[in-house]
Amino acid sequence: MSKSLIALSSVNYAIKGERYLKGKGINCNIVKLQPTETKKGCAYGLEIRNIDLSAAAALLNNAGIPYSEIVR
Amino acid sequence: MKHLIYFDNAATTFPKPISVVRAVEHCMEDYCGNPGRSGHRLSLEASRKIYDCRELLSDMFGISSPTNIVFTMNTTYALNIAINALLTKGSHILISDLEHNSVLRTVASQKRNGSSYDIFKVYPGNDEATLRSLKSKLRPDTSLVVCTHQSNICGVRLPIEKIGKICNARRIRFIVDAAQSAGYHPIRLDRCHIDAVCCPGHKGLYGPQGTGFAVFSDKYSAPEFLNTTLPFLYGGNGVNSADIEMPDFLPERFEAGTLPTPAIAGLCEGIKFVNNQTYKKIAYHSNQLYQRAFDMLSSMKNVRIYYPFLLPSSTILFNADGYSSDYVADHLNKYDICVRSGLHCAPLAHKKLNTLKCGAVRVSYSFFNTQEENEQFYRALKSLI
Repeated sequence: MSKSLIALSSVNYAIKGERYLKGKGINCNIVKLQPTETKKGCAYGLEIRNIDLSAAAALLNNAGIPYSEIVR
Repeated sequence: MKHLIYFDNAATTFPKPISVVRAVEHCMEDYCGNPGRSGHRLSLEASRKIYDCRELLSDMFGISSPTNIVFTMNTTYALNIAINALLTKGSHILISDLEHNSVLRTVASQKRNGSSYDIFKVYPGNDEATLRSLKSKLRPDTSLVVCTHQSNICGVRLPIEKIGKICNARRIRFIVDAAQSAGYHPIRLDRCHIDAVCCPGHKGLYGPQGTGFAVFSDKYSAPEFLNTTLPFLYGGNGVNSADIEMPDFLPERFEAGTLPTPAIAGLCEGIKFVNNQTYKKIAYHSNQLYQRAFDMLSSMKNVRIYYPFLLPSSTILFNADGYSSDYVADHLNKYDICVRSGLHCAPLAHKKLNTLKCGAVRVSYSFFNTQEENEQFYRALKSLI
């Protein structure tokens, strides 16, 4: 399965999301996004592997971790 | 070197646990990148350390969201942020007559926004009378109550759980200044109906100076609330950089500029120190020291202890007849004993004690003080009076 990328509002939410997803056994890591990759510039993202993107997004949503957009 | 006796822990604790010192060193030597700015290893490691601290603090104060911890330089900054965020402009504020200038001046400055304030009286040792005083000062347009948890000059503690209940029933927001109680007494925002608590990292939590924080209750995670508040500081924080507005979420709404990662790394260890020692053990230790100092000071005929009927705490306040508080502090300093004299930035409280002109001498303990130090303090004081 290819890598997917979800943009989060800040590094704090990225860390929160990373810890949450890893706690669920989902392999992910934090990356700094290019200003062109988000609407407002300067954000962090979670690179997620081996899971369907919408499932990861739903998990974050249910945990109250707001993601700003799905980049790819 | 002669042993220095440090009894000024209500101002800042000293010494710090060695784990705190080591954590600062480790950060400075190994991973002190700028948190939240870059994607490289050092920046992310610094960000993770700061997030660790948010997690420790959210556990300690009973909130579920670590992002509701807003780091500041000290309690005063935290109070300024929280008061500006939670006050409905043009409304009425209530504070107690034991407040530090960090509350008094901040609240008084809101006059420029059309707000006014009143002061309710604290009756030491009589919570019911204090609560009656609070209720008698409430007005239909009161939107905010701000009060200290524990006075910074004497051991008077306010019944914040009961005050929170009164505020909650009237939909009044409630801010607690925990400058003297954080790390000494458990504070749970949910249990006490507190909207925000403001704390130092460098006092009872044994962190380095330059650390403070505001804890906002979980209900303030919502953008609906944050959209209505003005940031206290403006600037960069690595978030939404193309946007001219500050972010509308916590903690970045109120955090601008680089955070002090080494100091926050130290604070992490200070919090762990408190958690490991436990509140019970810390309170027992300071109560024992207080009781011994109380007995010694009480035996001196020309010494006046303020509120001698109070339960033991980490702070004891006194004056010696015929000597100014500064003179007594200077005398003790000659014996390498550090205490605080004067008004302690708390003119309201000193007015209440009738010590506004002369001030008073404050002895305040940490977990590192000993009874032997108490004995030396007594001997030094006795050589003067």
